[in-house]
Amino acid sequence: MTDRRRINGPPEGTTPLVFPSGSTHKSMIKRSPTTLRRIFLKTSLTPPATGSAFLELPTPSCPSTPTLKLTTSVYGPRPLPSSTTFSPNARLTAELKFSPFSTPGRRRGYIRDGVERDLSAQLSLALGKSVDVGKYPKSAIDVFVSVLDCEGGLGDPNDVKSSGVEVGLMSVLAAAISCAGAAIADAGIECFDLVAGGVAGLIKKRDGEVEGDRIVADMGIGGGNDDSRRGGERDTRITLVLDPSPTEDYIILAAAAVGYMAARDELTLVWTKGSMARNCDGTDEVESLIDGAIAAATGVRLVINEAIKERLLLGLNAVGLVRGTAGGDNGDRTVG
Amino acid sequence: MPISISPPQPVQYLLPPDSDSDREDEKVILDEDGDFVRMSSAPRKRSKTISIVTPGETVTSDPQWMRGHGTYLLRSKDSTAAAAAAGYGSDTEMDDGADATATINKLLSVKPLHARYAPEIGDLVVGRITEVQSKRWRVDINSTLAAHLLLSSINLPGGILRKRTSTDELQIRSFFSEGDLLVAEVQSLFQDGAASLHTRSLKYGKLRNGHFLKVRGGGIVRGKSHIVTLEAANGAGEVDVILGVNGYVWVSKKVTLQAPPGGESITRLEEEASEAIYSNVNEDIAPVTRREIARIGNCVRAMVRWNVRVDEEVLNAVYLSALELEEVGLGEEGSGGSGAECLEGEAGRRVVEAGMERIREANSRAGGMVE
Amino acid sequence: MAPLQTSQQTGTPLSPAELSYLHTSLTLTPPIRPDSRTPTQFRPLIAESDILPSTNGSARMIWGDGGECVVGVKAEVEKNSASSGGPRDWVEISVEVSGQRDDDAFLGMTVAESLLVPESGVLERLALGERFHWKVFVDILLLTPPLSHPATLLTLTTYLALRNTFLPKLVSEVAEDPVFDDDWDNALPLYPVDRIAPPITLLVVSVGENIFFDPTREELAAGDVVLAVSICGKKVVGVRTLEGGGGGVGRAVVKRVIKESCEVAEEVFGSLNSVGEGD
Repeated sequence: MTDRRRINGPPEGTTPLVFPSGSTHKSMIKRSPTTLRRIFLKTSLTPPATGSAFLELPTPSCPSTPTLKLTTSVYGPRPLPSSTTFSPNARLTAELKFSPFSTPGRRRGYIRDGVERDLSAQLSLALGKSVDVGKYPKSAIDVFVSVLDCEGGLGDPNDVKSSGVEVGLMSVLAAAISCAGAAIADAGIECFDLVAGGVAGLIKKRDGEVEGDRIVADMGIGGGNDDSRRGGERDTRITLVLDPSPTEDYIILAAAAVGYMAARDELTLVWTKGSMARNCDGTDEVESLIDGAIAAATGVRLVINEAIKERLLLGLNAVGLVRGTAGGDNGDRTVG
Repeated sequence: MPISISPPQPVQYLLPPDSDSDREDEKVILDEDGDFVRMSSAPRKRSKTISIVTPGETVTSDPQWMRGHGTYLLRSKDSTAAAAAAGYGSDTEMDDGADATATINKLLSVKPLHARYAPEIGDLVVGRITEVQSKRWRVDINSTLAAHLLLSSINLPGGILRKRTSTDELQIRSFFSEGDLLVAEVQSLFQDGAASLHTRSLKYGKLRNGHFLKVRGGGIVRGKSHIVTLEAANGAGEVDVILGVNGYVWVSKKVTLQAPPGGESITRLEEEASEAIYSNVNEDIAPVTRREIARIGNCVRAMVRWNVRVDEEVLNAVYLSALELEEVGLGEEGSGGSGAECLEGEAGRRVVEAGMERIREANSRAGGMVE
Repeated sequence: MAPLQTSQQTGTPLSPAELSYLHTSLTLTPPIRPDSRTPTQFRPLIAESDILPSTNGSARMIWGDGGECVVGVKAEVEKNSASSGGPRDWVEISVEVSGQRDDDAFLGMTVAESLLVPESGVLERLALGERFHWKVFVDILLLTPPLSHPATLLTLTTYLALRNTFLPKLVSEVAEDPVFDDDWDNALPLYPVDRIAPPITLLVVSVGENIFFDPTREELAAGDVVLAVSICGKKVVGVRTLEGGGGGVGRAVVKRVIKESCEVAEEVFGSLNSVGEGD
């Protein structure tokens, strides 16, 4: 008799994944505000799960600096336990968990805390709207995201930069959404669209310098209508940056994370932090932030598409249905 | 104005308990009005012996009384009855629903002032399906226990007298599914007090084309008729109000069954009706009708809030006052649709008072004619 | 077609006929809300401030559907210590919902997130010389949870309480141990009138082309998207998506929701400030 109270491990053992050493160690390239960090995304890496994905951001110049790594596994659709009430739709639950060793500095406990519960709730909200739950009555779809490594402070008290907005949690959530989106597609669950997560932030250079290649959204804060920012900050320029990294050397004034379905041009989740004012030219900082986050999510979406395609083509290749190599460019492929 | 914030005020009720003389007048007039059974002679007699008790209080030590609901015998002196029901002083309610000792002949019972709905046979209730079982549904009727609706006590499609088959059992969810609203009658009570409902009448069944609202327990008292049809203003047609005794109210567009002329059609009508009876699709409802449905819903809510008994006559009067108030409000503010239809708070009180005034006038006029 | 939606707060879903009636009524132009309110109209509120004598500031508010919330703000003097996380720890917010064992993670997070927005200047006012600071405890007690989402009720009450919070005046020098003025009349407000006020969160639901403020439980169930928009002064300090609705929502709708929230918030601030004056 198996233990019904927990999710059982696979009946047979699985081989651990072997990563070639040094492949992820690349020096950090200075990027322009509109370029995203390169994303490594691979699906079907957890064999017992119906669908799974692994997402990793490149390690910055110093290998000891944390980066973002997370895995997602999707189980289901599987029957709901008999104790639950009838549901005409599939019930999608998402759970996001930080590993105890994921945070820089202090170790994180095993017990689910408020941050994790909040992120889990937001994650299931973002995903739930993309899945065609009506197709799977009386069943459950469980999404588990575990964060192996994450960058930046997570609202922890021992945080050095208290002057800016915490963007670490937002990048974790956005990455979790993208990764879970890929995993759901990998699980073969019927969806309306794939959700991709994107983050954008309004930043101010720490030393007040503005580089020439910061092109986007030159948002000088006008004088009189803005009483909150202190006088010394007015002359520094504020820039919109896609996919801001908490480890980089700037102060993030405000940030927005979205869950975005690119094909339908619809948002499933909006989360902003920091105060956003109205500019003198009539554009809202909120609006440009959301647009920026959508642009970031659109970029991520291309990666998700590639990752899913790559996996499928690998499978088709194995049975000899497709000629040519799997993975790579964006070009259309003919399925023979 | 989108938001109004007011300082707290002492609780007000529309009909203060000490205006006894006023109520005496009202009773007399209402009694002369033939079909208005608001305060008939029987509760009036009883109302004289009402007394408020608190739990544990000794009601009587006289052995001549029989012990009724809401009382218990003290262990030491076995003839002493004490109140067991909860409730506190202020009897601002009308006669019904007060935590009062009521005596019928030699039976002495305590009724709680505020309690959840206790079903009685014959009650018209509005309920919501909470669970589908193999041969019956569990229905939330705002009571202490969920009610049951047996598959055998609904009208099955294809004729009222059809025998229940196993096919029906298999497609039980096509009749009622979780969340569906229905109007039913309490057919019988189980040993534990749970109600068993039935919908074996064309009046009962699934609810469509309208809006559900919930009022305070005891807000709707048992009356002569619980399905009220109002002629809505602004050309909105007729609106049905189903006042469930359990405090659930359904306001909807009146559904007209196209009855072909002729006597033989009754069975056909039933067959036709039963085809559509479990549909989940609303009819086309014009915006004017939706507006009036919302207004009537507000009236019901305001009446319960300000302790006025909801029945056909009063509801009609309050509804007319609400219409008037909107006209006045529009004249004052000069801007169309500025939320003057919303009857929360003070506006509701004004409307209900105006409605009561209207009834008093009508009654005195009627009384004058009789004299 | 109305979205097939179950509200987790209710447990039981609304019936399909009910949902489609609501959805159609709310998508009409002009929309018809079940209680005939205009889209921006709030249900009447009852509020009072300064009700708890043993706190530095307090408020109580009763929502239209019976939700009641009490907020007490207490301040204690604490030594600056290296081990704790600095100014971020100086404000502690706890939300307790009576009758619920586990408090909603979202509620506390929204309040904390919007309250601790940098640049609000609150943390600077909490510093007491070089070695000490005020520690402010904001205890939010939801006596009866409202039928709809409690976010707005909670933040409006917190706003009132914080607006009425006074801290004793410091009379000692910067380097000394803090000594305070005994006279309560000299106490300084935590949020002076000329500085940025505390934030509030408005709950907004969008159905089709229409946007509704202060949605009821039914309106939440029939909505396409539910957003909680936090506003501080004239600025948006936080947007969050709440459960509700099926399918996504276009970006234009989100932007419009945020824009309208700013406009409505100004009137809400006006009404809230007049509560204090009335006493």
